[in-house]
Formats: sequence, structure tokens, C-alpha cells
Amino acid sequence: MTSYILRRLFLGIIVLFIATILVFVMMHMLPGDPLLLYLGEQYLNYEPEQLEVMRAEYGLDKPTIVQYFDWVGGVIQGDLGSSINYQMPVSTMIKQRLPVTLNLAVLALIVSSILGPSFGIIAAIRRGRWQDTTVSVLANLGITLPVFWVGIVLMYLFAYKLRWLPTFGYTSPADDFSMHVKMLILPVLCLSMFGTASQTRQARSSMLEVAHQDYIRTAWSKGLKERVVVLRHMLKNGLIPVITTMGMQVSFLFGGAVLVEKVFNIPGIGRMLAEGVTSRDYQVVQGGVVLMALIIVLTNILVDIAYAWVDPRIRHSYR
Amino acid sequence: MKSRRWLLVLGCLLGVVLLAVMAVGCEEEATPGGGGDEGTATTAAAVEVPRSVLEGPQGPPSDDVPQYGGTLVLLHNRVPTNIGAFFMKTGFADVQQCRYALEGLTGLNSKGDPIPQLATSWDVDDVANTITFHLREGVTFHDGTLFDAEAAKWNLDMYRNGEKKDLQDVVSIEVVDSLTVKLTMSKIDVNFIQSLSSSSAGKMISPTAYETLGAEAIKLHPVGTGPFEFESYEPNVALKYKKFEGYWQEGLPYLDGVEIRYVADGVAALTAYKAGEAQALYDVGVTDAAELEALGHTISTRVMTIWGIAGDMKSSSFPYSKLEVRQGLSYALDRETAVLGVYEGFNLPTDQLAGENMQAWNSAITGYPYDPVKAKELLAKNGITPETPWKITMTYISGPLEDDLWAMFQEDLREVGIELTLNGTDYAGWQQKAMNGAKNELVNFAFSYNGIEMQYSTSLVGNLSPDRAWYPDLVLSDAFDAAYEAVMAATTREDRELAYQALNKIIIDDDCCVVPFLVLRNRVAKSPDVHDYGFAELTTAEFLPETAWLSGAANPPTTLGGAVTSVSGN
Repeated sequence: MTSYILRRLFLGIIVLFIATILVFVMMHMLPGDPLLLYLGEQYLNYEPEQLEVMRAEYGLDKPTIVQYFDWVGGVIQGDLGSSINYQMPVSTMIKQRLPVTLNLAVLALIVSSILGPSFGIIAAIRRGRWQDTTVSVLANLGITLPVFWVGIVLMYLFAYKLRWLPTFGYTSPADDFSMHVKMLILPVLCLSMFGTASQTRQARSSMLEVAHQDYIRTAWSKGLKERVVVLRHMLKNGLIPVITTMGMQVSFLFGGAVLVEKVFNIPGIGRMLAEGVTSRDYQVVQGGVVLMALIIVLTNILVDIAYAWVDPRIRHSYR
Repeated sequence: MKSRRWLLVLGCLLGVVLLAVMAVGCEEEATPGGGGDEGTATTAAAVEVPRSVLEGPQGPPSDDVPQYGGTLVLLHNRVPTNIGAFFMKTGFADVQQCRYALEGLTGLNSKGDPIPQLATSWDVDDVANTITFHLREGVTFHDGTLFDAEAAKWNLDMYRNGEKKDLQDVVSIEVVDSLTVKLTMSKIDVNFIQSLSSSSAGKMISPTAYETLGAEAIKLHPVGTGPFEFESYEPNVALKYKKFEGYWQEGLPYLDGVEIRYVADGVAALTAYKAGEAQALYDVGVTDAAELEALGHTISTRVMTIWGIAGDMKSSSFPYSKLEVRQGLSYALDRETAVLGVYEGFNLPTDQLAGENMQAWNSAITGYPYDPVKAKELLAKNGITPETPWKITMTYISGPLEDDLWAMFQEDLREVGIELTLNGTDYAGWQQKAMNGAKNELVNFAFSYNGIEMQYSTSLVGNLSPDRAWYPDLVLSDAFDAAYEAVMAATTREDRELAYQALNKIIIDDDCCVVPFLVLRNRVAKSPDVHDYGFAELTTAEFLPETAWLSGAANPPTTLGGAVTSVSGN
């Protein structure tokens, strides 16, 4: 098991490395000058020599490949570079924004992890009935509807028309917990939508598969109550694939966070990345992508470990 | 069968719920600004309310009697990076958000002329090349220290030695007495005084605060003499100013505070504004502006840029290098129909490098009014006809309305034999093409000019001078070069304006090196509760924040978020 984890970690580092190269190349292929974008029409107030000094300050005067290795060297030493658009270290920006995104993502994950399997189980044990149909229709909608569109509709309805909730923004729970909750209701609903829907479908499918197993038939024939059959016998095996999808949810959550944070104006990593791309703030995008890639890689490793814990057959196969 | 029946029942129930929710939601359009009373003067009618002694770009205040109280909330789409020390690097957003706390030696009136602000008057000596500023007495910074000649000298020295090229012509700065400071210049530039009211140079901050807070911290903690003092900045969320009780104009400002909230998404911003969570919205889209105007909101427009077409004039085989082709292209554009149709009057057509009420506008310019017959004639002389079209790519800054505009121009040009392949790109992509040159292509030409004369000359230097950084493929004639030198050599504002107009005529009538078509304006929506808020009337950098007031201030908008005191990055 230890060697498996170490192997996964090593592969994770390779994945990170490849991700940074891809992002670096793609960002530098985009047209535009980050320094001029930041200065806007203010650039006219600088002499060309002063602009060159600034360019050198950000390493923009160096060849692309040198810029990449300089950045990698910095990352190894804990320096993620400096944002041109925000005029501050990228690590500071991440420290400010990561808790916000994690707050949003964790809540969305909890919501989808509770609702998804629950709906899936209901649909499975009431297969063919109205509960199954309703859940399946809603799950399909949850997967197909674009999250930003849903966000805008929810905002329009609940914030603008009904005035039940604020339109946008984020408040730290330490500052005003009640406002914090109000502000996160819509974003969390949006962000958890896809995860809930996909876990619903996955849970339904895997529970149905388990339901047809011989040992379940034996349990029924023993006269056990439905609750006991489902919770004690079906659930553990039925949820193994669901746990796997939970790991995949993390990548969807971070991807979805980019859109949700933009729509609801939440100052998290997702919005930072979106703005970084628009403003060609290379180091912000690179730093953000490294962080998200790291989180996703680590999460997937944890999921694999959890998978092995849940299924003894997998655990024993590592020996 | 049974499940289908249940599905039908469920569907009906969902439909009823949806209708009920929509019915609840379909109330009358909410009154913005928190639903307070309409602006009336009755409560304050008997009270004499002080007025600002300063002039501002927004013109004189309304006749209504201002009311005290309330916090004005402005939604903005760009966060600041330096609103406290303009001698250091500043970005586009900074100049728009500092004015509440910072004042300069001079301000601007509605014509863009420099007027007193922290300096009550100045004497220009053309012989000795000196400018002597007489400073206003009794002004204190937000930290309680005095604004005097020493503080002014300190600030001007910081600008002179700073990261930008401000005050390059200043040789020395002398404190004559506590309220008089004299600048010795290498030459007297006609725009120097005006430049002190600009976004770049001239904003005064407390030297003591700079020493205490440090160069980095003061960037996001401005300490000036303005009517509002810095309260807090939550990164990417909100910048808050509160009323400065020690402001040198007693009885001002009227507002208790100003809050700038940052919203990256236009839909979220508009929704929040319409929900009454803010009273001002920066950078409103044209369609939304029209809707808001119909609902009684004020839409302030500020000229930002003159747009046109530029192309490669250096390649002799490229059709754009030929004068007749450029002229034909200009005649072919039906600017009025396209621009007024797409922008609903919020942006205006032009065929000069100026709008009609701007200093550089030259009524003697003939220009190229829409005439497709003439266009065809000129193009045909160069082998371009609808049967043998000139196929060319046009790179422009894309947007929903810009795409429509260019689609209309595409049709106009197709009619005369120019087949445009449209390449709509984002600002960054366009910027790169405009700076690196568009080889054998056409590119969107953008001339930043907000009606301030100084801005015109700055843009001229950047975009059309021999040393320009943009549009390197333009070829400027000897007549242009001579006219440009005349602009730079002008010693009075009046002479320079005449020189601009002469230059404009050469650019358009004689050389036709660029093809202007649009006066692009930025829009700020202000709710009916907002009065005398001059933000974005002439220039977003300069206005009088102390004159702004809110009617219905007893019902301020919803405050989002709790108290925040941290300053980003420090």
C-alpha cells in the first residue's frame, strides 16, 4: 500500500509538471501584453525606457523558455511570482482567495455527497415509480443545464425579483455568519448541481446492480426489513463507484468554481484564474493552475486510499 | 402506465409552483436606491446648506437643496492597485477611484480648463520660466497634518523622481513661504497646469503618512485632503471611504461615505444595481443603459476613444497604401446608420479624430460623408470592384454590439468591392496587433481622447507621432510631421488647439491615413436618488465628490458583508 501511494505521488508530480508546461505555453500563445493591459491608457505617461524597466521587473523581456524555468525555480523555493494586474505576490493572492474557494467547494461537495447518493438510492429502490422518474429527470437536467445560466436565473429570481437573498458577494463567516450563509446559498446550489446529478445517476445505477446480487436476494428471503437490506447490505458495495466519482467531483468543483465565482462575484481562486486569463497575468494563472492541479491530484490519491479501505479486495491486492 | 400518470400529476404540480413563484416575482420594478423617498427638498428647505467653492467637470450643481447622510455605493469592474501614491505605478482603475480621498493643486472645469483646487492661484513667468503656486490656507490631511508648501514640494519632488515621466520639465522646486511654492521649469509647456489635475501628476498625499505607513501600504491606504478618508479595503470585494470631518470645506461632504464594490460580471452588476444594492454602476452596456434611462436613471457618458480603421501603408503592393483606396473605404462607410443604429445614440459617428464638441474638431474638414458611388469610383481606379473584390482581414475589438457594427460595415464595404473577413478579438489580442503592426491587414484604430486637451496631445504622441509605439505601419506625410511639430511648439492653449485642428485636417482630408468612424463613450448609470455626482461626466479621474448627495438617505441600500479592516497584501 505504501509503495502504491508513493508511486501515485510520483505520478502526481509528473502530472503537475505537464500541466504547468501546457498552461504556460497556452498562455504565452495568447496575444496581448500583460503590462500594457494593466497600464491601459496610463502607459502614455511612461517613457519607453521606463516601460522596459518594468518589463524586466516581471521577467517579460526574457525568452519564454527562460521565463518558464525561472518560474519553476521560484516555485520550488515557494515563490509563485508576482501579479502584474494586482501588483502583489501570487502567493498572497492565493492565501486570500483559497479559503473562499475551499469554503464554497467543500460546502458544494457536502451537499452533492449527501443529496446525490440519497436521491440515487431512492430512485433505485423505487425503480419504475414516480420517485424514480422524477429523480432521473431532475438528474438529467442537472447534468445538462449550464451552471452559469442556472446561476443567473437563480440570481434573477431570488435576488432581484423576490429579494430573498443578496445578488452577489462573499462575507467571511467570522465577520457575519448569517450574511455568509445567505450569500453562499445560491452559489453552493449552483456548484453542487452537476455533482448531485452525476452522483444521483451513478448511485442509482450501482445500487440497481447490487440489488440483483445473490446475497441481496438472500437477505430479502430472510425477511429482513427494507431499511436493513439497503443500509447494511446494499449500501457499502453500491457506494464504491460513487466514492470514485466523488473524487472526480473535486476537479468539476474547481472548474465550476471559475464560473460560479464569476457570476456571483466571489473573490476566490476561480475568479482569480478567469481574470488572470483575460488580463494575461501569466503568473497568476500558472500559480492558480498549479494549486488546483495539486489539490486534484492529492484528492484523487485520497480517493484511491478510501476506495481500498472500503473494498477489502482492493486493499489485499496491494500486498 | 401508473408511473406515466404520476409523472403527469407531478408535472402539473411543478407547473403550478412555477407559476406561483413567477407571479410573486412579477412585482412592479423595484424603486432603486433602497426604495427611499423621492428626492425632495422639503425637509432641508429651511436650512442653508453649504456648497462647494470649487468648480468641477460636471458643471454647476442642481438647484435642489442637498440632503445629508447616506452611503453612495458604486459598482465597478476593476480593482485598484495604487490609489494612494500616484508617483508610483498606477493602473487604469486607480485613477478612477482615488479622487474621493485625494485632491490636486488644480482641478478641471466642464471645458477641461485647469482651475484652482489646493492651489488658489498661480503665476506663470514665461521669461524666468517659473510657475508660482499660491496654496489654500487651512487645509489638513486626513491624518491631521497640515497641507502647506513643504508638503506640496515633497509631493512634487516625488513625482519628479517617480516611476513615470511626470514633471520632467521641472528643474527645481522652492518653498517661498508656508503657502507659496515656486517651480523653475526648463520650458513652460502649455499643458503643464492642466496635467497637474490629471490622473497622473499632482495628487497630494501626506508625507507623514507615507513615512509612517510605508511605500507599499500607502498604495491602498490613501491619505489626502479630500472630502472622504479611507476606511477599509477588502481585496476584490469593496473599497470604503468615510466622510472626513476635518475637510477644509466646512459642512461638506453631504454623504456619510462612498463604497466601491467590485463586480467582475456585468450581469451580476446590473442585477445588483436594479435590485437597489447600489446607486451607481460603472460601464453599463448600451442596451441596459437604454432600459435604465427609460426607468428614470441618469446615464452619464464620457468620451473615451475615437475608433477608426488603420492599415499597412508601408507595403506598396497593399491597397491600403494608396490614398484613393483609403478615401474610397471612408466614403463607403455609412457611419450614421451603423453607429446610431447599433448604439442607440450612446456612441456617436464621426469622420474626424474628434467629436463635434471637442477642441480638435475642425468644421473646415470636408471628410468623407457616406457616398458609395464615389467610393466605387475611387476603388475602381485601383482595380477594386464588386466583381474583382479586395479581400482583407479586419481585426477589431469584439463585443456583442461591435460584432453587429462590423457586420453592417462589412455589408457597406461589400457593396463597393471590399470583402472583409472579420477577426473579432479581445482587447489584449487587438492591442498586440495594433502595437506590432498588422501586416497586410486592417486593424481597429483607437485614439484615446476624453475631451481633455492634454489627453489629446498625449494620445497624439503615443499613436501618431514619429516616435509612436502603436500602428507602426502607418506612413505619415511630411505635411503631417510639420503640423505635428507645430502642435508641440505651440506656446498657448489657443495656438495648440488651432494646431490640433490643422493636424486633424491633414490626417483626414489630405492624407486620410486613418478612417475614423466612432466616438466611443463610457457609460455610468446613476439612480434617481443620486444627485450632483460628477463621476464620469468629462473624465472619471476628475470630479467633485463633495457635491454628491442622496435623496432618501434614510433608506440606504443593503450593506453586503461585515466589517472589514484589513488591507490587502500588508
